Amino acid sequence: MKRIKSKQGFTLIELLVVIAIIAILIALLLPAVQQAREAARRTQCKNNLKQLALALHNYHDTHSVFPPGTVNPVGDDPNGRNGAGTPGIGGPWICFLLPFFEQTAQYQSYAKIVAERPEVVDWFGNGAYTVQGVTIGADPLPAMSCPSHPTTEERLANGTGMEHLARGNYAASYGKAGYGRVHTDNPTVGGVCGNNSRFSMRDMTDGTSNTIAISELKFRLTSATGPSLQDTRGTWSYGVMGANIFSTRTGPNSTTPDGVWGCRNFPAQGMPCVQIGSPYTEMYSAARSYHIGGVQGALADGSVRFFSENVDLLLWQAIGTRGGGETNGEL
Amino acid sequence: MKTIKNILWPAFMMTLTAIIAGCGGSENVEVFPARGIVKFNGKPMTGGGAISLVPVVSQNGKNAGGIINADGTFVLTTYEDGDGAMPGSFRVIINQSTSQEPDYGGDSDAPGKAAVKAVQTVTSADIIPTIYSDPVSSPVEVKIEARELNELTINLERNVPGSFVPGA
Repeated sequence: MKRIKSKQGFTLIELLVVIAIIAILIALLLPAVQQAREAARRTQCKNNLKQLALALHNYHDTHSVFPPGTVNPVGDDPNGRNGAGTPGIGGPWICFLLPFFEQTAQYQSYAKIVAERPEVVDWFGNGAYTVQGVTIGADPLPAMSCPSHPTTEERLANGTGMEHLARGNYAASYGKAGYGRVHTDNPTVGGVCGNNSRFSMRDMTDGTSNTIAISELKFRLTSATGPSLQDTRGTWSYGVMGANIFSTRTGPNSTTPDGVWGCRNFPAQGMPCVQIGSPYTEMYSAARSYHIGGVQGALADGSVRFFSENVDLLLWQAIGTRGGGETNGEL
Repeated sequence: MKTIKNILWPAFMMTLTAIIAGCGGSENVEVFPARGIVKFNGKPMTGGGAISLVPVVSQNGKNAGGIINADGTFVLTTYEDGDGAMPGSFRVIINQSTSQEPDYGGDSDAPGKAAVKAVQTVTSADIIPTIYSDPVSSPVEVKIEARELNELTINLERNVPGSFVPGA
């Protein structure tokens, strides 16, 4: 049936309904824009992890082993020597990877300091070297910075020689136990890296796709509570637990305080902590991030994935170990 | 006119339903308040530290942790400050903080100064055996139940078989 008396136009009700629908759609869109921005940052963050994982593999191809978590000729003591000329903490894993993601200049900076100073990390970012253009450790490294994390201009300064170290977000796994060699050497608790470690793919008896190699960390934003500049957590060139090394002992974004030497408790930023000092073997630090609901991690096979903070803790710990013999089932 | 309304109203209602439905679906587990005290040889543990729960058998969900105060008391937190822990059986891991790094305000280019040294805050007689900080073999277990408040008393002893005792 055709309508004869059809007039052109809309009634007021129809107009209101249409406006209401448009308003709702806009209301949906506005938060979505913010979500989309964060999603983009998260993807970029994930890409950084992928690049580091590829660099790790390229290093393995060249040297047949994964890099050491840290070179530490004095055992597990992570402290600096304040430039005293006695052997101190050497380069962390990231320094060995530098040539494998086209940071050869940075690597040469590192090699120069290694050749001249036994207390290597003490001189990272130090004015004595930065005036010569040797700037390793002084500035944030884009490959080690996750865009989801707020930035800071502050540098680590803790009074042991580490006075100028820039912040960073990625960390190598030391397994589910602690920082010490005693844990690293035990495949049922140790991870891909450890102090002075030389593990190759064949040491990953759990399988490279069941072992995490790199994940994320938070660093402190500038704050008088603490003070934040003394908190070692999230420092890209300092190979100590919590700085560029993490442990799967506590879950992603854990509310258990990190047990780190030289940290300052700051639950407001999701960074609880208690100082665990000498002996340094028991130090541990959780993977943390600003992504909602979990952290991203690169497995030893090079794949990158998201881990929910609600993951079964026993499973997360199993992913941390290189030879725990666990069945990981549903990741 | 009626035909337009017939289309618009269902469309409007469906949009509304979609919005409401889209806001649910968080995978966080339900938690129940839990607090307590850590005792070492019958006295509250000194120095403070960290407590964390590790499930005895596989269990999905974020695990609780907390800071142990200098008087040995603690409150467990999972998502929000002091909200508690999910129900289940857990192994308790305790890390004692036995030394502190002094505050250091300066930022100096001059090397060769004495490095900042740790300050021992707990006497060796009060340091707990390291087995309690072992995520695999810590002998302490607790049960968190789905009730209004879980009051926990965690008793640690100096003489645990197979444990290294510092300062003994």
